[in-house]
Amino acid sequence: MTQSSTYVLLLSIGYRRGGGAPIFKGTVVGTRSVDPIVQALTLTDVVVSVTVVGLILALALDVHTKTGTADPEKIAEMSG
Amino acid sequence: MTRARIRAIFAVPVLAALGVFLFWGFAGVPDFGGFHGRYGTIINHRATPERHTTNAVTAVVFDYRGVDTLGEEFILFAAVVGVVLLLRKGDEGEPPTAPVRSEQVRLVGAVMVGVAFLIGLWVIAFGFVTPGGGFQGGVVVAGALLLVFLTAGYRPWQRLAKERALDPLEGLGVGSFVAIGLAGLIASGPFLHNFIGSGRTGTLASGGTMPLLNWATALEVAAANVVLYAEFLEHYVAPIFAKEPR
Repeated sequence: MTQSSTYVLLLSIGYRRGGGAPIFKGTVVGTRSVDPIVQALTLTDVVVSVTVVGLILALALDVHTKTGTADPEKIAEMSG
Repeated sequence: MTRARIRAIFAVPVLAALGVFLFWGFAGVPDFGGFHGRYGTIINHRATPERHTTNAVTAVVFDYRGVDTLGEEFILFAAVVGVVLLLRKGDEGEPPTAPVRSEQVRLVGAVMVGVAFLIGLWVIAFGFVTPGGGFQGGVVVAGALLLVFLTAGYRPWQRLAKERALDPLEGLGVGSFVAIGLAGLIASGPFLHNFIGSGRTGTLASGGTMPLLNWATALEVAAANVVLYAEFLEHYVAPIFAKEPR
């Protein structure tokens, strides 16, 4: 959730009033456009966060399968 | 004192400090729509004349800030390697068949998989002309392949998502990105330097090294996502199918 809200924050910082998308096929270079850099950051981040969430999910499911709980408090301390 | 209560006592002042800083930061943000950044404006004006690409966002991802994209790709790669390490067992045994029984779903799937795959390829290919790119298109292609599982059953998906083929493909994606960057280093100057000529604006033959990096990224993202789905399906969903009575 925090990650998604940072994306929205980044994109809204880059918005310019009355600006179009930073795509110039069919529009003249120099028309008022929004910031492309925050969009670039956000799009790579969205895709990467999907896989990282997958990794976290795999970890959590693995712990749950092995110990029956996902609460870090209840898991007995590691032995050995 | 319980551990939870100690944690709560420590949390309150830290959260309060965080709240103060957040509020201070948000108060300093310019008005919505009043974007002042110079870098973005410069790129909007210079991307098309310099690189002959009409998509400034893709130019930022693959050209102006290509090193950041390389780092993100490595994060993706490492995350998928972690999932594979956690979930992949050695000897799996006979996978369940689990076909989808509804004829209507199979028919819709037969049409939609091709359409979705083509759309994904289009999004990748024209990524630097119109909105799109390797990241977005790679995810669409992986989704099209997942549609095979959803509409046809587990066995067709198994035949499609072979680990032996996907792992080297994913490595090839990341490796070619680095190789193109090294080629730029060897050819002239800095790593990931755009050393190929820029071509004609608005066509597929534009952007220099951008189409190559684009396809390398798309390959890596698509393969990584399919491996991710395959590992989860094999580890958590296939046993459910195996237990169901036929």
